[in-house]
Amino acid sequence: MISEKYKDLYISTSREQLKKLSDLFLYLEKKPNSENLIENIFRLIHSMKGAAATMAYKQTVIMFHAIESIIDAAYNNALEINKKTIDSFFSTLKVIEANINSIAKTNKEIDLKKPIELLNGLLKSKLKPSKNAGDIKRVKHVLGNLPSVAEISVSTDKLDKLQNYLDDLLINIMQARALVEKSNQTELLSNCINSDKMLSDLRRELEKIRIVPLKQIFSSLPYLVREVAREENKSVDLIIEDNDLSLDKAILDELVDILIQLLKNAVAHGIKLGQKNGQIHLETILNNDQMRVIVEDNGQGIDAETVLSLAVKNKIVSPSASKKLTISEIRNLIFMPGISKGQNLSTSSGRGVGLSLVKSRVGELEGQIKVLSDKGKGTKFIIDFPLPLSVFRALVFKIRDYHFAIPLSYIEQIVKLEKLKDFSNSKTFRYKQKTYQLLNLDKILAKQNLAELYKYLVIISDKKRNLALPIFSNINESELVMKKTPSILKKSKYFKGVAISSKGQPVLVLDINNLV
Amino acid sequence: MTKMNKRATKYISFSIDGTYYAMPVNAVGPFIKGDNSLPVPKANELIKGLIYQNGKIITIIDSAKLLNLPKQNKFATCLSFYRGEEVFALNVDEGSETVKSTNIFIDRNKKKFKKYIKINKNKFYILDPEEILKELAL
Repeated sequence: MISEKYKDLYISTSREQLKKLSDLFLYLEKKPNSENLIENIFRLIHSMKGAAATMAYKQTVIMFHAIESIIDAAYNNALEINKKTIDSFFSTLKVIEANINSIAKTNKEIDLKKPIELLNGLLKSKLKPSKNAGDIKRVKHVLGNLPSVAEISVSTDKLDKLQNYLDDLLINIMQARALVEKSNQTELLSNCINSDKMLSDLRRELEKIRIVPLKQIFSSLPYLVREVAREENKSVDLIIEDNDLSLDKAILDELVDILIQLLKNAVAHGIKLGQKNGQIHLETILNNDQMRVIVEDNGQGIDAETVLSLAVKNKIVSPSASKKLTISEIRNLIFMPGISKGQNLSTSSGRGVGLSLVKSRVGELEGQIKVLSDKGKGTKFIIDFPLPLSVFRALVFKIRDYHFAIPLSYIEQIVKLEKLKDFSNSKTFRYKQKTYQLLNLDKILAKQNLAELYKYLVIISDKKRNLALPIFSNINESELVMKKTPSILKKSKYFKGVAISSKGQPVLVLDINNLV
Repeated sequence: MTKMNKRATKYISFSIDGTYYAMPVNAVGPFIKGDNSLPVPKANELIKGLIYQNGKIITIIDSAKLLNLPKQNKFATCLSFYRGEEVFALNVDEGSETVKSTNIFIDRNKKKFKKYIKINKNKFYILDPEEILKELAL
């Protein structure tokens, strides 16, 4: 048997191949007579069989051989690809997945006797006399296709640790550079600058490893929707527009879990039974440093009256309070745990916790979710969440004892006022024929009974609004390294988090969007 | 005073404002310097601020306010402790040695942090990290 050390490689390769196989089956469902598709499926199964043989997973080999025989028969027109055949293929995907998971956990195959019998039975019952037996040429796939040793899979935890070490090294170099700049030692300074550059390159390469195209992860979602729709006896298409975006793998994994719940919900509760044009549209858009994810269905929509009566019935809201709720507040009741308890229970949903979990997980990503829906007009979920900052240049300033930072990407201009100005009674400021709405940090800072004077005005870069933030002093530009947000800040919507300056000092990074 | 249990447990001991305290050794990190912390606006009043050390953001907890002590703690020494990967630190007057005790007692005159151990006839009140974080509503 091949050494244990190849097991991880086998597992990660098998999971990739399983994804490809589910995509191919989805295409085959739409084009059951495509020879090209059938041939590709055959090659993939043959490859998976070969890898299993190399790892001495005997039952797995027999199972793949059975699938291979069915595909081979289909290729030779000895077997018809119809709905029942496709359903059997998808059922087999579940078995393959369970087998991979079992091997990953225990290094043992699951009991594959029954699936193998079913596959062999399918082959026997479907076989018809081949019209062109012996005439079809098929390219033989070369066996012995070991998983490539040029690739390794690395957990995001390990990448996180490496990223942390690099961040800290960067902070140290920034501190060293600041000291060297003061000492005027040009040779040493040149060395520091080179180290800084090398480290930045290293960080960029590490970031590239972590960044995964959304396409790659979203590719399994059509299969999920298909399976849920099949269980619910509905016909639903999933259309995905990922706009070629990529995201950090760790965040993507969280996002996919959220999307799975929303998609299940859309199929189970959104699309009506008997609806022929059932469609779910999944779109991702990048907007400055925010990602927007939209899940929209063309189903029956949310009936506000039904939601309200369920909320009262399940004691989420009292009858008297229910009369004072706005339409938007009523819609948001769907995110309360227990709201749909007992309603339309299926294997997909109806236990009352799905959307409340979604909201909670969106919160963990420091994002927000809202729902737009009317009865008979479909439902649209919109999730906005910030993309993580890592190393960035910022304007750092001090107000009283606090040190704040605003990423430079938010700043259009810094205006130095001709004389110190008291903005405490002003809501706007006029500059170069434009009127700016003044932001103030009163929401964050306890108001003092002192008329504070300001020397600078930071003009915020915003397409829709003219915003400006008054600042007094200790203003400078600095490179900052973002760190993990501590618990005490997580509930505050005014801060993106904490970053470290070149002096090794923590600084609070403001979230300008929430100061408006 | 009530005797609780007989299992021997190790603690790191320290003093705050003349009173001895102890924290279970499996929860604590090293003693660190916690001065020049970054204050956080509108944070829980028990939070003194944030510092950055050894690659981590550390939340400094004001022990004087936590323990309702009349005197403001002036010393920069802090005892760090963990919750998962996150680091907190409590400012103390002086760190001391590791102690062991089999019995835990309860001082019913105290409203919080009632448990204590006895070492050489001295009471060492146990500051359990989870209890501390509960005071911070975290």
